[in-house]
Amino acid sequence: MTELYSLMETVDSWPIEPSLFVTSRQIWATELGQLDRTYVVGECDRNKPLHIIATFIRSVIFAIKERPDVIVTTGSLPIAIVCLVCKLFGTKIVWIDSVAQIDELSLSGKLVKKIASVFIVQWPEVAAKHPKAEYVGELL
Amino acid sequence: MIFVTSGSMLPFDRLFRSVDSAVESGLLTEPVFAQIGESRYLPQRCEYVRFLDKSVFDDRVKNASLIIAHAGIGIIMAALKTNTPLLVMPRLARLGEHVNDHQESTAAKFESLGHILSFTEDTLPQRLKDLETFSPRPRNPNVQGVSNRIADYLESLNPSR
Repeated sequence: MTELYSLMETVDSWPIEPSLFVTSRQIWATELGQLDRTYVVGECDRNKPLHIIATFIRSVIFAIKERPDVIVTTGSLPIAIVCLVCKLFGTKIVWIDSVAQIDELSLSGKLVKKIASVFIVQWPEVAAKHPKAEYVGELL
Repeated sequence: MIFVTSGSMLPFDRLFRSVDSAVESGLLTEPVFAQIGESRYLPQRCEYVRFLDKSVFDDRVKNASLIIAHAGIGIIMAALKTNTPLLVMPRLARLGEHVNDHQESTAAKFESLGHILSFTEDTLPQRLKDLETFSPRPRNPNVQGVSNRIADYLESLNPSR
């Protein structure tokens, strides 16, 4: 969340400001302080197929209800699932891979790269490895 | 006060054994406080707890004269934010300390950028000497660069705004 908070400090200058939030954990939804417009899709990782299914179902509900125009996200896997589902409904994806990914893309980044409209990484060496990845700065 | 931390995930006994050795041989003379997480090894030479509340943790990071830790991105960023010197020991997959060796890359990268120093059991004495003249290079993230790229993209979707 620290990377997201860093980005959120700058959103006042965007032509469109965020109107909805999606996170994997209730505690972060509470921290964000916009409970009436925050969806919680649940935590999951690659080793927990049942959790992945649960997140997928919540993502479908979110996609059908909200049909976001754009998702801007710093990851990780639960939100990658949200992105994949929303893409089917025409949502554009702006993905920012984590600053912790110093040598290579994250797994969730690899899943989303093909469908992202903008794919940002936070190390020039990683951008050099992937034609679509852009290095434009860093959040931390 | 020297603050030692291994994060909250897998145990990292090797880190705390090294620190205990260093205290025993007189290389570390300041009081040491450790947050040991799931470590099976219990420090003999310093006060320790398993976990800390965030506010207490942040306080320790800020007030330490030196932090000795695993090479996790979280502690690296926390130390840089408060300009506290940080010495890291990367967790190794072959020793069961992590699922892969990316902490070695992380340590090497941030050390090459002048932000931290990295050590193994053998190099600890030399590194503690190096710390005497070490000043962490501040990190200046270009957040606006990321934000502007996104703003430009959003603008391209709504040219009438």
